[in-house]
Amino acid sequence: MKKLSVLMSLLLSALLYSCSTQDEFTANPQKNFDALWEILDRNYCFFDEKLPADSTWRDYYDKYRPQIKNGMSTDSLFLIMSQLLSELKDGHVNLYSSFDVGRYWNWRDDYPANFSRELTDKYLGKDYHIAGGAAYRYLEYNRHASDSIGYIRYASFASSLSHSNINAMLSRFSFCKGLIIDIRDNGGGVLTTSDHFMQHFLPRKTLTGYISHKTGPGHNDFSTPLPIYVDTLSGGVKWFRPVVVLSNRGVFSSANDFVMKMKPLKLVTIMGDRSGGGAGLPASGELPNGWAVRYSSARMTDEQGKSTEFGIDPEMWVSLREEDKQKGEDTLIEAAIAHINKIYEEIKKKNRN
Amino acid sequence: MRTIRLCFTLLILMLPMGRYPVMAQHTPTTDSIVGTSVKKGFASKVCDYWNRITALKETDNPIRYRTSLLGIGGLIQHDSYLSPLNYGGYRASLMSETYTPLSKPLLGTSLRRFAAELDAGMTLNPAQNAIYYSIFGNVYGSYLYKWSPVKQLHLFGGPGLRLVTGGVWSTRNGNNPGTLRLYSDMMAEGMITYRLPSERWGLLFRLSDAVSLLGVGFSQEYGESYYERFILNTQGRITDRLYMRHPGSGFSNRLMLTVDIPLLDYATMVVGYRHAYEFSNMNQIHTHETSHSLLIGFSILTQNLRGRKNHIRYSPL
Repeated sequence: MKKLSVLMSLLLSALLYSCSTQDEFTANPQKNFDALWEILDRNYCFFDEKLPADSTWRDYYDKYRPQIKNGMSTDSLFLIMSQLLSELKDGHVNLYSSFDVGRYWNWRDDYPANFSRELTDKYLGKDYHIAGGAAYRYLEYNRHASDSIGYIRYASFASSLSHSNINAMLSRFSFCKGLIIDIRDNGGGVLTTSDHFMQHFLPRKTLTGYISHKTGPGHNDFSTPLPIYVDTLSGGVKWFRPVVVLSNRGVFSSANDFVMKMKPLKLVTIMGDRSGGGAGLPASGELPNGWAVRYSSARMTDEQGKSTEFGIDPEMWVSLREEDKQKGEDTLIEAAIAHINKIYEEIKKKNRN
Repeated sequence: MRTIRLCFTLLILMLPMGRYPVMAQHTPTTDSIVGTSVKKGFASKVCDYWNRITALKETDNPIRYRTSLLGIGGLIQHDSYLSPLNYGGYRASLMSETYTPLSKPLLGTSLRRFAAELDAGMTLNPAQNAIYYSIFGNVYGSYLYKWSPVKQLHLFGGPGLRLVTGGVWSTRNGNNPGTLRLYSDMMAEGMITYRLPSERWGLLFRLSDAVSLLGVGFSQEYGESYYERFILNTQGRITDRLYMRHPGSGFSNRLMLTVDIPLLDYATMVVGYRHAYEFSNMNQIHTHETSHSLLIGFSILTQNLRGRKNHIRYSPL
């Protein structure tokens, strides 16, 4: 029996040791660069929109591959790989290592911020409420108490926001004539949260866009676009009064999706700057040296089939003015209040006639 | 003339069929099959064959052979939907098998095999900085026909069916963190058993293999997210992505070698080895899993005494 136990222990050790893939690890710069280029080549979905018409993804391989040398430092390899990825000008394309994240953020950084945290904090005051990941209050700052307008600041779609959170906020604004949803600098998060939020403003089941995934490694291998419908709520608080969504270049990914889905709604006005885009659904892969790569793998469009990868234009362009900032006023919030008041008066006038 | 010929043909066919109920009253033996086959008509043979298949049932109060095994071993995984790299690590398995003898078999003695497996795996990428967690449930059912060329040596073979469900979860990926596996296969199974002719050390050696032949499975498309497939899609979430499995698109093999060791009069210990291989190649998504496991457990013989008849027949009260 003792001999049998020893034999089985030896066999088990052999079996466990034989099933490791550690010997497939390689830090070889060329192999890792090639692996990165190939992952993108087979899976990235926006080559036609992102690369200049006279260039191909192979051209970028030829451009950067000669810079990859045996014995180069890890930092240099990471830098060149990040440069390769930056050619795609996509905020959803990243390279992850234990010491850095390769990124392209020029879709936001190259444009005016049109957002000041200091100013929004003034409008929120100190006694604002928090529902899930959203901060909200009835606006009083800058003598706006009489305007009767609700204000929701939602900074990230990665923060949870349930139907009950939204119900709670909207029901507390039941006496308000309009609502401002401030999603400036919201870099995205969970896509389904965007749907949950917009359901409260939908009168009926609505076509909001299309999604198309890759069906093979070819650059033009795409599925037939699948229509995306969002249904209205069967229960809960629905809001059918004027709404202004404040947007800027920092609105990306699922926040961009929220703007895209809200824009066609009759009582909703998108105000501010063009959103940052990011209409690709990201997926992940990895390199033999353990670095991870993220890329856009499925393309989403609006309900008319138009790409929103480069952002969505607002219905009212408003920029944050320096002189307003000096006065402690947020130009966009002030414009939103004025717009809601105007619409409210128009509706009142229409109803009177 | 054609009508007369047709009636005559039907009459010829009807004659042996008319004899069929009489034949069916007797339990046919192998000798009687050989002895009377030349006299039977075609329809009679078909009916006879059908009768034998449908007559498969458990023997009166059968003694079942059951094993319960725990497996621990190594696992290599690849799933191109999650990562282009191979992952390696460990697998723990729980297995249970039941062999039930059947009476009135088609070709000699036969067994009905039912097996269930639960496999849990944890594997790491080559850089050891990302993990796959996997869990799979396998259920098998098969009929094995028995041939005994030598007294202690038995050969078994027959068709089977299995259902597999499970998934792989990656700790690294964001929007493509896992894959679902769902498929069913027709199997071909074979087994050789040999028992040592010793009263005291009647070790039972068992070598079995099961390979998949044809089946149906689920696979999402190349770059299709589960968000799109299962949340945005409202119809045909699974059924629209079923594919035909054959050795080119989906294949599996289970090879198992076990030895039953009687521990004096207390119990029968089973030790063994299992090699499990799964492969699929659909929608340009490649997956494969290879595992080598060491098995240890017990086998028992059971007799079912439940039920009205058995209760009356065997109850000591």
